[in-house]
Amino acid sequence: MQFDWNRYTCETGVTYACELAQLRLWLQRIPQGWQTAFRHEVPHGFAPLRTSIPAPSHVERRRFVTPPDAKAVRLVPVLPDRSVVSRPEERIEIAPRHKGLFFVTVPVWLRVQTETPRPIALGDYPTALLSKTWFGHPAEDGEIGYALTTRARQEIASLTDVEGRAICPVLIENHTHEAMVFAQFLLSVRHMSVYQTADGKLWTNECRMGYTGSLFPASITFGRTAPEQAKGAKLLSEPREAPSSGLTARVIADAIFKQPF
Amino acid sequence: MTINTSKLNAAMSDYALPFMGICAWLIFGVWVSSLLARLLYTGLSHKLGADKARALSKGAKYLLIVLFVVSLIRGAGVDITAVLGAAGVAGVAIGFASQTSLSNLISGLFLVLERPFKIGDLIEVDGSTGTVHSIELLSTYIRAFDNRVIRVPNEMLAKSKFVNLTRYPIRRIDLDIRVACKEDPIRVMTVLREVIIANPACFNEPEPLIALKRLSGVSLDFLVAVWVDRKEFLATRTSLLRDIKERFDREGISLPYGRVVVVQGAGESTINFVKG
Repeated sequence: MQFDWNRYTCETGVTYACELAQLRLWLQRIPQGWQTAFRHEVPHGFAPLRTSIPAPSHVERRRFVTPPDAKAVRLVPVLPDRSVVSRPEERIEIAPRHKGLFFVTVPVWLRVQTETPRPIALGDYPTALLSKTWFGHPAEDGEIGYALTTRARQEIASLTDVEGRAICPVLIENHTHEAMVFAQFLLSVRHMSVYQTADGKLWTNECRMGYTGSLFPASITFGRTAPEQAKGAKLLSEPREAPSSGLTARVIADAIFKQPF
Repeated sequence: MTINTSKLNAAMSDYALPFMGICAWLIFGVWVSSLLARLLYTGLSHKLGADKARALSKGAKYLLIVLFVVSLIRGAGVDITAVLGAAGVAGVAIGFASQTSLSNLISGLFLVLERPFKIGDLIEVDGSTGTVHSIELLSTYIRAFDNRVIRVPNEMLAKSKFVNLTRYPIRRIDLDIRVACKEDPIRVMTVLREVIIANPACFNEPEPLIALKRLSGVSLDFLVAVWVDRKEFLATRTSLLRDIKERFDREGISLPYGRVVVVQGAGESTINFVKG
């Protein structure tokens, strides 16, 4: 069942619930605002917002005080709040002066926001619990990110189980005269938007990584529109942080760090 | 009794008014110095960090106060070279008398320049652990977890060993896990790995380490080393131990029982404590 990213008008005092991958979310309009409750569970499910019995007492709740005209909410897919790390199944070698296109699927987070002239966020809820990981050497600069459980693919057709995930095209360009070998890369998803095509699939804008040698950080640029594989897709959410021009970072790594003993 | 107003006026103009002027100038000088030091701190704290900015602004404040005092002495018509000479002699005497304070002061400067820790870091020093609250010229203030404030002389920090627990954004949790010696070590290691993988706070990379550390007549001792976000250190440690216990109970993996050896004359017998 496909998840419906839509606008929902809610009655005061009535509980609504939806399911998206591991997330089960309850939503209720209360006299001065909204209350949400959520938990993560297995197996996965996909169900749009509908009336439900109240949330169990032991789940985590949040309460929001909002203006009285906030009678409807919109469910919006956003990308995780940290970068994600993708490990291809095997180490990949890109020939000198050549480039490779990879497709990574990133679990989206569910943002609940009021349908008001100035939307008020009622929380961002991860739809999948991803393990954290460290990109870099433990005693040097690095970044904490989420480890993706899916692998980078090179054909769209090989992407399965994309429900609740955004497909991110990553173009890695080797600008050097030597072969470039890498085992994993870091994707700054906070700089990316989410789009939806007519078939309901979610996409992000394209990310280009320019490799100029192991001693130098890679240049990173983000496409300003939906990728060419998702022509005509409509924008569902803006990036968490607008990307600045001339962005460089260590985002491509050859080795996986092992314990020192 | 009659009051000689002309003498009083003369005394006022000779002593009281200049004295009031000196006081006003001194108050103004201290106020201006504090204001400039505060502006300097605000301007520098983003670029240099709170601790360096604090040290520099305090240094600037005391320098400005000294300059105000010198200008005051000169304004009063006192020969500044004689005063400076006297101050030099006094300085030597005071220096001998306050060696500890000077040592703390210099150590404080080195701490600010070397930056082995910064304000907000969690450090362990002389058996106490807490967050660095402020680095002053003579001492560093640490706020312990139970809200006690510990004053550590800078000289001590410069001389002795301390541990900065938050230098890096990630830390490793080392757990010593012991199970009864009858258990299969491969199975135990598999269960431990599954528990770690199921906990999203445990990092995939650096990879977790599970090693059989020791075999004894009582237990198998494992080392479980897992990397985590330093901000989640305690919460993850607690959840890991809880998950391991729950999983061991479910899998029927038993922990080693307490054991006491009772020696009776020439021979010996063993009493095993039974759980429950």
